[in-house]
Amino acid sequence: MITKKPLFYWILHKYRGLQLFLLLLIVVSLFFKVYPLEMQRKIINVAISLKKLDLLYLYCGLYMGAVLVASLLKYYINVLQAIIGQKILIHMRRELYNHVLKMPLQFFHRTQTGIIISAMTSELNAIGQFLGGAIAIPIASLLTFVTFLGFMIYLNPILGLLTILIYPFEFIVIPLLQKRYNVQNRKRVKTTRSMANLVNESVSGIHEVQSSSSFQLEQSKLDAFIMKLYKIMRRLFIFKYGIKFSNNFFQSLGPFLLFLLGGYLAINGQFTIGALVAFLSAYEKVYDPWKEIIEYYQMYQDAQVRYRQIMETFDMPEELLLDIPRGDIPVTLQGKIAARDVGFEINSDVRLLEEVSFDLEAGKHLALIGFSGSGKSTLSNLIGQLYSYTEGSINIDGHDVSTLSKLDIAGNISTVSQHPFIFTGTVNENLLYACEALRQAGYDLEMPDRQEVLRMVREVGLEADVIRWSFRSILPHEKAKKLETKILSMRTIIHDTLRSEFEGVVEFYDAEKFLDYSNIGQNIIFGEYANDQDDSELLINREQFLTFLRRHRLLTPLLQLGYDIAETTITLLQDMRDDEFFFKGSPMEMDEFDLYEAIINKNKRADLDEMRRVDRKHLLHLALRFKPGEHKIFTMPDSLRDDIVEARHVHLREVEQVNIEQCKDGTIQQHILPARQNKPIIDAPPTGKLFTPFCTSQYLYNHTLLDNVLFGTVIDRDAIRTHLGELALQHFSEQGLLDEIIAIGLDFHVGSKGDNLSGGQKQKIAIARALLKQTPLLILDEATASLDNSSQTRIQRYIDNHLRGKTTVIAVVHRLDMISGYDHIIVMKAGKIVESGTYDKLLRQKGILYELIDESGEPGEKE
Amino acid sequence: MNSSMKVENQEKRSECKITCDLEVLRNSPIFAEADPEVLKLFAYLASRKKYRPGDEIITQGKEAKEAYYLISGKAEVTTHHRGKEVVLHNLHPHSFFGELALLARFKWFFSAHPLEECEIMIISRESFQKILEKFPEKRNRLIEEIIQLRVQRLCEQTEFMLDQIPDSYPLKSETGA
Repeated sequence: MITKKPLFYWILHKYRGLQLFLLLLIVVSLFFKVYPLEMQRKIINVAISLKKLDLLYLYCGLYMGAVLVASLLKYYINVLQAIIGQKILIHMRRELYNHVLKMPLQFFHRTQTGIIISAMTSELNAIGQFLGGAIAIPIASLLTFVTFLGFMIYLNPILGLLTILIYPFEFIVIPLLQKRYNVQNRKRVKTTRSMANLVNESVSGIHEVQSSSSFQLEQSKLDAFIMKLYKIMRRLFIFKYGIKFSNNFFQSLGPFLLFLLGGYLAINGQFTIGALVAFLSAYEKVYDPWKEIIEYYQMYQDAQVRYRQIMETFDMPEELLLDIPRGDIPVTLQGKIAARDVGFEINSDVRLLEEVSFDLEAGKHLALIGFSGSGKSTLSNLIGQLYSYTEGSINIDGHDVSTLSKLDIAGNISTVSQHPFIFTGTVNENLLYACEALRQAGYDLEMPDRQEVLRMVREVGLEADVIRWSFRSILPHEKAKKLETKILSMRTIIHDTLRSEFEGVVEFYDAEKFLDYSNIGQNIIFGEYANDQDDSELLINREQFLTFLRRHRLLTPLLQLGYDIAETTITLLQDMRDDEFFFKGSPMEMDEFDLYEAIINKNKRADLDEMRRVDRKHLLHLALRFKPGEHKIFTMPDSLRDDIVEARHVHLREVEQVNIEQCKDGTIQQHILPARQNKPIIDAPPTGKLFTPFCTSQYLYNHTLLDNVLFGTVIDRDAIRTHLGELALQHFSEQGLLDEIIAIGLDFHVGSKGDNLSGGQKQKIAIARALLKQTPLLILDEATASLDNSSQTRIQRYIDNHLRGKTTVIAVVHRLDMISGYDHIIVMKAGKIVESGTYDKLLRQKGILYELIDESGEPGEKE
Repeated sequence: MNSSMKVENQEKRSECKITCDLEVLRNSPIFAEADPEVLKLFAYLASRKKYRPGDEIITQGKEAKEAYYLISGKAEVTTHHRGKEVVLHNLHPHSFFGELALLARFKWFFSAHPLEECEIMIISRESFQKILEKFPEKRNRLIEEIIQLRVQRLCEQTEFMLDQIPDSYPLKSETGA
């Protein structure tokens, strides 16, 4: 098992060739490190003392060359070492993650997420730095050390041996300090983990923290760890720098001895100056590998501490058979269940289940009911192999569940839990998650096609949600291109068939009318530019547009409008400037408040024409974003509306060269290019289209699907939600257009952990995900608990009508009015079965089920 | 337009939508006594909506999120009881309903329908709470106003219901005897 492998297993078994090559490089580099020393000696003893310039140049050149080669080699060695480390780390992390995912559920209940995360990420990283040079560094350093020592002994045996004398002291002192350092380091890892965990917990529970305003409480919890960590770190550094100090001290002790003794020898003529210089250099050089050995030793100890702690965390056998034994094919089950005296104990004293026995034929539906804590969920989890029973046995078609591999289980059983998990990605990816997982595991499985997915979406009642996501989305260009004609035919339905119903609820794009629910910028250009930023930002930076406004006497009134809006907003929201909620009635955004406040304060007495250009631009920007119908902050003068509509016509006709009559009657050609004299503002998109006018025949690429279908802006959202939406969908469905809409909605992004979804939506996706797998067994652990009544009933009806005889269903049911359709009912209490039989039988014998139903007062359930 | 008009015109033109709603609120029972600066924020965040007969203003069983003030038109408040829709009382212009939604989360226990075209001002719980977060000292006063309105409504409704009771209903003196 991975957690039992020692740290060096990874180093000795992976990338041996590369590591050997690294070692070789180090040995080669060794030569280039010693060589300069020899040159030093020669420079002083030969070149200088013989006063030969040509020799001096030669030796200096060789010296320099050797130093250069040595540094380059060192550089390459460092890089290679890091790469090897990272490569080994890949294996380590992969295998460990694989192990972690397969660990029994109890482990995850017991272990806090923060610990797992920090072990898998930062702590493994730290080990990675050690791994690369784990073999090469000690060998190389030792070799270097010995080489330099050898060189020193070769220069002068007595002095050389004397230098070695210092080292044994270090061999005693440093490990002593290191041991203490390790103790502190172990504490540090532990405390950091707890801290990570605490932060993780309060971040996950931020709702609770903020709603109960427990900032102080959470802070004080963290403070305890901060102080503890501080104390540990303080001690840690005392030892760490203690090691450094003893090193430095011994290091400088060397020259002292050398000068004393070497000087004595030199004065007596027993030793040349050149040799003394080379000796001193060698002594300094001998310190490098020594330092490396010490550092390596520290890194090794540190990595060892971390490694052990990581492996201890995950040291638990993967208790289930994960893969099918080689050569075997996965079993295909029918779904006949036989449970005999099943018991389940945790922590070897808490009994959650006792002597549970029952039989269930394949294709039959079983409901488990009982009080909370009665063990009904536990029983369903035991069948699904999420837990392993500790006594008795559960057989499915004669296979003991505990002998089945995870893949066998996944291929035959689908489980929906009460709080299902949704993964980051699209709705579609989540719906196909279970099928895709099986396919990737090598299971022979036909992936559900689009039609099947759509059918399931409908069956679980997710259709309305999917349609809503669809309408809210802005289609990517490519996709919109493909669906354009279909979307335009939906628009025709709304405008021709349903116009009277939608009048007043939607403000249609009408070239003759001022649009209260579109901003001023759109009111003027009456169209959209193909670009990523918002149109008003583009317009204020376009000289040609500013000239147009000036020529049509709109510039000053719009600047005035911008000024008034800014002034009113900053006056009214002075104290609310830090709450985004209050900015929904103004075109100003919260983070622009300071900017506009400064502009207004600066220009209180100024004439609009005298303002700085950049200020005017900001004011115009505000005015162009103003939506009179939505932004309550300001009321626009009526005369300005008429002027804007008039200017719109001129702008369409003269600047964008759009024929307004053709635009209105829908005969206008698509792909309108800007007039020749206009400089393109941005590069033309693939279609060559820059400007799209609001004409009935045009698809608006920057607008949502809803805007495009309605060809206008929704004023009354409630009316669409309550009845008009349905009316329109009915018409679309008759024309066979509905599937397209749903398909778009399936590409909706659910956000991290499904944050963009409601609890009910997550649940529905999880149920559809399980049903799409079409396994012979289905386990529902209060799967519909967070759904509204009608959705619950709809899904129950699907289970009753479509799965009976085909799929064995084990459902933990909370609502008693849902159980009448089940073939068999088990009532549980305190881990035991107290009643078992058909619904009718149990009611007739007037036992516990009868009482439960009577108490809950479900209408129509009593006999 | 001459830019020198800026200063003089600004007061007059700038605040109509808010000013109109401010007037409405100032004449309403709950907000009559509130500070102008608070009132102005309420007016800023309030919205107006028109309802026609056949629409539903409040639907029983749905999440209560906003309070309503009837500006014009007539409406009725009903509740679903034993399979029947029972009228609780009639609403006249200048009256609040659903005001409890400002204080607490619950599901509507009654419905409200327009009897003729109605114009209604809507104040959401979110805006009510956001504003009072900024003016905590005004909170108690406003809550008291809402409760008083509620008490008054309760008395009226009880009286209205008692008026509907047939004479055969046992009265206290009879049962006690």
